[in-house]
Amino acid sequence: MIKLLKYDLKRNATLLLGGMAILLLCEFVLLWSRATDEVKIVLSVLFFGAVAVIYFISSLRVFDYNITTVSRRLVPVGALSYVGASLLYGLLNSLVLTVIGAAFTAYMVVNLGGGFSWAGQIPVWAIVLIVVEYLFLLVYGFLTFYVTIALARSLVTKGVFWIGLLIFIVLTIVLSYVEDFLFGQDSSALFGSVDLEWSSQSGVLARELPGLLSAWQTWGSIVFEGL
Amino acid sequence: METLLKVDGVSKKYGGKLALNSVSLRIGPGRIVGLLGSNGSGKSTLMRIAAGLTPPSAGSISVLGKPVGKETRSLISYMPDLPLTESWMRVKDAVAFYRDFYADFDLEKAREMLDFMSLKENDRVSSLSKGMGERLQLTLALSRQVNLYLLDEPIGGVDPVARGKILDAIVRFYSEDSSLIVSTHLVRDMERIFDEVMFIQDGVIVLHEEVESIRINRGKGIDDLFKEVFGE
Repeated sequence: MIKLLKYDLKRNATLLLGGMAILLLCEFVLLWSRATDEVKIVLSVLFFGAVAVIYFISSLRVFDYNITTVSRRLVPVGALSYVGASLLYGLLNSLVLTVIGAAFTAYMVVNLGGGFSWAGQIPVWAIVLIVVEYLFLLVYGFLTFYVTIALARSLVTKGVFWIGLLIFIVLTIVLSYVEDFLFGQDSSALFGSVDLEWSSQSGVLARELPGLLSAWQTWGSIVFEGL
Repeated sequence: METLLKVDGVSKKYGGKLALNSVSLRIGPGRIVGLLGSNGSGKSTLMRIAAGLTPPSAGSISVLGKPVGKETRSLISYMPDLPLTESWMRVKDAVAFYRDFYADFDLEKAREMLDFMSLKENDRVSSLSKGMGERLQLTLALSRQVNLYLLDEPIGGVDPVARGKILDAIVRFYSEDSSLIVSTHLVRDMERIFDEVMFIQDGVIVLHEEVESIRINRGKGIDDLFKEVFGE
């Protein structure tokens, strides 16, 4: 699995390193520019979004490449190694991008005006829970797409994209329906394990620090997705 | 004699098209076998099934008694008609890829073959000509120490000089304890290396015979017999 990952990274090194270099360059230019804070935040989100999309597509292409090309299918490894290597590739890229994004966000929070001092008050357990759920979402998301690609590849040789899209839509609707039926909520809510609320009280924006959302529906839904 | 490759009633359908029709054969060790047929006769399909890349629609296939699958991948070295290398690679990366994944890969033999094939380790795979690319694929395939080598069209689309070099390399570097199945429709160029030949036509093996037996009993060469069988 690690050997497959090594060659996946080598094969896509130009794309990954090039994308990262361009992103960092754009971000630094943006930070040192005279643009307003709002413009900096919006452009920064756009830059990260663009690279995230490119990396995400690359991750899906890696899985597709591993299960379709003769050179990869001939190597004496188990079927799960292809999934594991592709998943690690996707997670690794996502996490590197997340860490860089978090660093820029922290810099902006500290340097682009106040209003974010509450961020330091988030308890450690909530941060851990958010990170765990983020990882879970990444794994769940990638695996859902891998299942879609594998199914589409096994069904047709032409029009794989459209069949894959159809399978993905059906899969998403069915899962949402089952979750809604079982737990009264679907998987569309992100970071459902931590409850952080903002509300307007007498014209002043107030917030409630994170609390553990203990509803069994939320955790049941997460466990269901995990299964 | 121990059977190396055993194919029993293997058929393969692609949609409504029957690519292989109840093929049965046995290959023993120490043989160079030509799998000969015109384009679309089922040669590559049979090779892919033997390599474990495509499941048969019916029948069974085994290597040294083991059903074709993950376990037999370490017994077979397959050179498909498409490159096994990737465009980002240099020759040394392709060799490293094989060394990393195949415990039976013989690095010394690979270096000797690269030298014989006039390939340099720093050459970029993407800049190699068709003939040089085929030489590299063959180097990678034959540098593994396995029981069965499957070469699918190893001289397809290469010039006569490269063909000669590739055939010389096959004869020089193939291990005599192993067997080698070579699929091709370029019979005249390759017939000198075969011990036995199989003719495949419309997914059916129509002839499987020793080359010497054909020459003695039929009084003709493989190329002449091929033209007789496949002539339109």
